[in-house]
Amino acid sequence: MSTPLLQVEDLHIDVPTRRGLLHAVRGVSFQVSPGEALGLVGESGCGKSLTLRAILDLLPHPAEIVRGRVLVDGVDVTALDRAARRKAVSASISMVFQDSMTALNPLMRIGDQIAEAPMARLGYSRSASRVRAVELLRQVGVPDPERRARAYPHQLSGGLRQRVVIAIALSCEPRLLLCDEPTTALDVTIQAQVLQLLQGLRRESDLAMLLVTHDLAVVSETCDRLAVMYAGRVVEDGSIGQLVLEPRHPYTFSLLRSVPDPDEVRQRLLTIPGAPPDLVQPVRSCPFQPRCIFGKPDCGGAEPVLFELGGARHSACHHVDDALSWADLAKVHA
Amino acid sequence: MAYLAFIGRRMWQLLPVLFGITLVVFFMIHLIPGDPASTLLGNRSTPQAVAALRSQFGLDEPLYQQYLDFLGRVVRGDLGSSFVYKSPVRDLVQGRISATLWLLGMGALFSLLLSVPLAVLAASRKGGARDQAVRIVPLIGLGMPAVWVGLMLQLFFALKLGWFPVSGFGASFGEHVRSIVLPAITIAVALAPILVRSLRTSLLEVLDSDYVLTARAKGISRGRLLVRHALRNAAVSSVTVLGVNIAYLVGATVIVERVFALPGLGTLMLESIYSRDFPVVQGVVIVIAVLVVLVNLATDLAHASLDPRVGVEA
Amino acid sequence: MTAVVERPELEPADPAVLVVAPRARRLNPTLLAGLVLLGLLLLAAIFAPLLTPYGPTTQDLSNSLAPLGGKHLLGTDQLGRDTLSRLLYGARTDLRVGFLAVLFPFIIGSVLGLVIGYRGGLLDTLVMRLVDMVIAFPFYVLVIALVFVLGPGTRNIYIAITAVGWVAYCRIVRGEVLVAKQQEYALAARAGGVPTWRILLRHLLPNVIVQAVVYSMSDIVLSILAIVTLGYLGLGVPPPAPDWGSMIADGQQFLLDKWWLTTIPGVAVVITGLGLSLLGDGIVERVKQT
Repeated sequence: MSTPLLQVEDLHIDVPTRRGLLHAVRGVSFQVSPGEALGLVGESGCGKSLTLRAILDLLPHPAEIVRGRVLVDGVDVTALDRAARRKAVSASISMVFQDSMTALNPLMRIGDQIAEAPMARLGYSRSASRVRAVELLRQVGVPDPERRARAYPHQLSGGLRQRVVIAIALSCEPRLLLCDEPTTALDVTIQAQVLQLLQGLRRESDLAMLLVTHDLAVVSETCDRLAVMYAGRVVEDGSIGQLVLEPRHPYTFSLLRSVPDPDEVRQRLLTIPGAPPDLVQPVRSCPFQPRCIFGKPDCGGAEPVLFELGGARHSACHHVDDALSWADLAKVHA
Repeated sequence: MAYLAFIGRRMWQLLPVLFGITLVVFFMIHLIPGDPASTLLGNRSTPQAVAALRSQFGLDEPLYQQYLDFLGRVVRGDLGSSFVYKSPVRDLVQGRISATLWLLGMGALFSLLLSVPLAVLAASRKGGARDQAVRIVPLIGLGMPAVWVGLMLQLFFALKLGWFPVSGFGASFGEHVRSIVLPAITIAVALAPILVRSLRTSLLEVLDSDYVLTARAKGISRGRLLVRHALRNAAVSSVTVLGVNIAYLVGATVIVERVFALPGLGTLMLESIYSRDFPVVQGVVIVIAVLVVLVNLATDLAHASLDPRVGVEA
Repeated sequence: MTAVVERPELEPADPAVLVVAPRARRLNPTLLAGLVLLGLLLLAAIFAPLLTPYGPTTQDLSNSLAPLGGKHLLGTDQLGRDTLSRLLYGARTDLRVGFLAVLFPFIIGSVLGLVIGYRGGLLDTLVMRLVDMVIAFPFYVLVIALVFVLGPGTRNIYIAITAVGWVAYCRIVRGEVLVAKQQEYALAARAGGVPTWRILLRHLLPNVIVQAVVYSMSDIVLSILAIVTLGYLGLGVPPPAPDWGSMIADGQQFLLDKWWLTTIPGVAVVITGLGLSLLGDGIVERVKQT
């Protein structure tokens, strides 16, 4: 059993704000094995982006890790100083950013931006790094790569720019790719192309992937495993097949049911009313309860922990045993 | 080649502004309460002098004709003739423009030297101790009159310490430099509150930007990050910030010249005001406004050549 | 009337805010400091007669250029006039003129901006061309030239500063109106047949005026600086009215040994500027909180 590429253990991230200390991430744990694709799903504000950033030590200023560890190849990088951490992490892990327009330096030619990591970090010579940049552009499917390498970001279309962002991530020769909403800013046809690209890259280089998104469709196409986050915690995880066919947490259930299924002719879509809780306040009971249609009186008690359900499957619901009856219950409520 | 085309295009766009300048200046004479001619002449006023003045300025002709004549003269470089010196305004301006340009140049340089490091200091850690400390600069600095700052600098560095001359411009190159230092510092201090604020904001934007994040994610060292990404991009916005404040820079220059008795356009204008030498005042105002326009053009050019999104070809 | 006619950034200037109690509602420290400072200044100006036995214009040639301390707390100038008195009475002049010199541009510029922003069309084009012409000139240059042309006197100072200063307010308000008039509440009012003047006054004005008010806070500082500078140049409030600017000018010839004559009025200006800046930043803070 090989060491997982990435292990996140009991991660807690706090953000000081005007109104008080925001507990944005409250004990998140997961791992990614070599070659595996894990999806991190949840609505805006659940803490998934912060978790990604924390892995790479890119948290925005007031936010900080207050508990927990991040291990890369078994090494606790959170215990290292900044420089050592940067080296250790960027050697294996790269990030693909959401907004390709702002993720690229508008004043630099894209070829130079792709060549930067090989030249500055991997010891390539200037000419060798240029060659590598062109290679990478070709690999991500940018036509006419030699000419495109001399272009500036504003001269490319959205889809091409996203490919460039992926090329930049690949330039560091990573074994794990962190993707923060890589397709959200794109329109549907381009989305499909980019996803295809990512999957192709995975196959070719046995690249592992941690994909953060709120879009279930993206996740179901590309990921092997899924972790669902809500209110700063993982509330359910398991393999993709298991979660989609048999969700064991009301939030996962509602998420799945809020997306139309093309095969169902007459279907009522569930909406999830309300809004996520304010994480400045301490969480004393199940955070999903106010919006949960399966709620029972004792849900107002303690916050549920992540119960192990056997077979690398977990769920944080007091009434996980009722899961099988949810489909019928939903028909009543809808 | 593209640069010439760029300049050409911009000048074409600036024509209305240049016309507007002449219009505003032209109308100044008509704002004079009472009869312009005798008010201008003041106690030099005799019936012949008044008549001569009226014909010189064409005050009896219809308004639009007056303006066209005026415009025609200005375009040809004829800015009128001084009441006091009896010589063309143009010559007077030529004699004084060098000191003003010196002060403008060194003032701009010192402003950057003062404001940029302060802004970098503040932006390096948003909300941090250094940032809060730098916030004091606009708070106190905004309320400091440039004239007073100049006088205080004179007091310490010229009168008490004797490091620099109290006033005047000197004759040699070296003396020019020594004479301009204190005035240039004054201008830098006068501009600092505004520049530091704007530069800090644009620097923070750059540092917070996603492309800097991308670079950090790549594992690029802080040093390389600062130079290749942050500083370059910030430089572009700095040029813009300085450009926006050019008019203020020139205005401050005019005032500061007076404090240090520098023989520039500013002191020429003020002297002419005290001696009621209207043509000179008019001429200097035009020259100063055109100067502002030209410097703005130069910063535009600098910005376009640095930023590929704008581009000289655009 | 400023160097740069840009939208003032709504950035907290208060050092303590990030750390201090999040529940500070009405008076953040900046606002408080500004109010206190300004309050003291205003009190000093208003109660000037009570604070000093000498009049601001009373000459005492036998006692000219007296040093600090003694009968004349802050010394006297070359005509034997008490510096402290001139300082306090000068506060009246400069504060009053400074404030009024912002009021007129504020009103004229805002009204104009409101109208042309909403109307658009030829009027808008014409006024904006005028704006471009005015901002081509450095503020001081144009004001000085206008003061020269119009002649001496406080009234002409107001006219000169207003003629140059309205531009900033016009641009700010116009910009806000351009955005606001597309908002739903404005469109609804138009669709409902509400007369234009009423739309402008009751619906748009309260929303668009905020930026202008924020700007005016820093503008008052610049206005006072302008009065003082004009005073220094001899183009300001005519003598013998006491004015910090002319005090600075008078003191310049004695800079070496009687340095306080020039320094003290300047310090007064700096303190005034500080108070106003704190007040302005504090108000911005407060506005952001709501």
